[in-house]
Amino acid sequence: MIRPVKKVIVPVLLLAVLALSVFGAVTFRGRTRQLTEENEALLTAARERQQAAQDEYNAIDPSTVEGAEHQLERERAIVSEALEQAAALEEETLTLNDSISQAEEELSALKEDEDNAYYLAVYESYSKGMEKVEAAIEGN
Amino acid sequence: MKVINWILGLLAAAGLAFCGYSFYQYSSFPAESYTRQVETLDKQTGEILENTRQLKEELAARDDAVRSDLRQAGDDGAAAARRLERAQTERDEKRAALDSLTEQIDFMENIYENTLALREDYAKKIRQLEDLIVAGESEAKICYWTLDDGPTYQTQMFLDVAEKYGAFLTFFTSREANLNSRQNDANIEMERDLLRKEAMAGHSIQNHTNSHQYGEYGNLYGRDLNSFREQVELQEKWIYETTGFKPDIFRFPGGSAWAFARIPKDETVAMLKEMGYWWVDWSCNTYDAGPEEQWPDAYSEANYSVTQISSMPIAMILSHDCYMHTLGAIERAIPTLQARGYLFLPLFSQSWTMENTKIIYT
Repeated sequence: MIRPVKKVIVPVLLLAVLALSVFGAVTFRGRTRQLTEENEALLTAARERQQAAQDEYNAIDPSTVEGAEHQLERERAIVSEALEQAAALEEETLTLNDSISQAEEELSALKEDEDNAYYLAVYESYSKGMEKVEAAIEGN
Repeated sequence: MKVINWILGLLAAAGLAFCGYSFYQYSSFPAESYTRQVETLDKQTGEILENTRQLKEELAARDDAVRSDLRQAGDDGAAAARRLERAQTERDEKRAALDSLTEQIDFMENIYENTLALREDYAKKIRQLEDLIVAGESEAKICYWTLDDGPTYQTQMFLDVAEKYGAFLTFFTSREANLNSRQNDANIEMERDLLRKEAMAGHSIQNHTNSHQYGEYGNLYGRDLNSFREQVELQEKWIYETTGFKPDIFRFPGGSAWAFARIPKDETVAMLKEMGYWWVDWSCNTYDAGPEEQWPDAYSEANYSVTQISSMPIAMILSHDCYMHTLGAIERAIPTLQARGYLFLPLFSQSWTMENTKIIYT
């Protein structure tokens, strides 16, 4: 009775040990691979960040060709900006010229008005008198 | 069977060994090494980023330097700098010109109010000078040369003399006082022009009644006070409508002594005050009016004026702008008195003399 049982149990146990060993090996290898992938990914990301930072630096570093070009572009942009500003100022000056012409006409019309001219003359005469009085107050 | 067991045993042993090896690999995974590498890389990245930030700041500072001095950007920059500077200067000049014009327009649109304000300031300044003189704190002297009864045909010549010497006078005007001098061919427009010329030249124009005891009002003071008031109002209306300025100083035709001998002083003064008037006489009479045979010549009239006021730091001379001898006198007296330090100023109601020239020096 025992012998037939032994005949069955030993191979079954050996098979079970084999199966467990294979399962364990596959599991640990899988975990190891997963860890490796995760850490490699982290490392790759860190390298990429570093590269990106370095690229960004190089792009603006005037000692590099790219950086020198970048600086030249910025200078061009500044010059262009200044030229735009000058053009805007010139445009404003033209508008101001029109406004000045209108204002001169308006002022001229106001001064030509008989009553305004009269009061302006009075004002100017009072101003002259005021200057004399102020000079006298100051002792001159 | 044994063989199978042996094979299974070997396989199981190999499986166990493989499992153990796998576990060993798992348990000895170099996670810390990875972490250190990542940390090192991140630290280096941080340094690069910091360097980048500093470089950006330096570049931004350089950009600002280039903006403030475009010549640093080469020939193109220098050309742009010149154009920008020119455009900026021209724009600023135009803007300043427009601002100035706008200010002038605003000033002209309110020229009447501005003139009234300046007149007020001017009167206050004169009063300030008077106070200094009275307090003995100024060596300046003031002559208020007043001319009654105009405007007349001679008034323009008085204005010319005043302009020649930069003197300001005070005209106590009376529209009908000069009827004789204009020989009844009243030229309304000429009188209006003269009155405005007096104002335009900065002289003071004040009230001496409309009739000045001539014509219908041969006896200005012989009627009731309302009639007298009417004559003051008529003259005020004419002055205001012609010059735009309301007179506020009154001089009695014939002088206050003559007037108060005929009309009640207190009531008259109260009435004038209620009408907004101060009244004033003079401190020196040139005696240029009166019967023709008594008229002084210009030389003696000028001498008399100069002598009379020589002791007065603030003097008020009575004369009339309807006599040629007075014209000659004023032409001589003004430069003489100016040489002695007298300023010829217009009389305003804020003057110290309003409260103090009630003594008639004759």
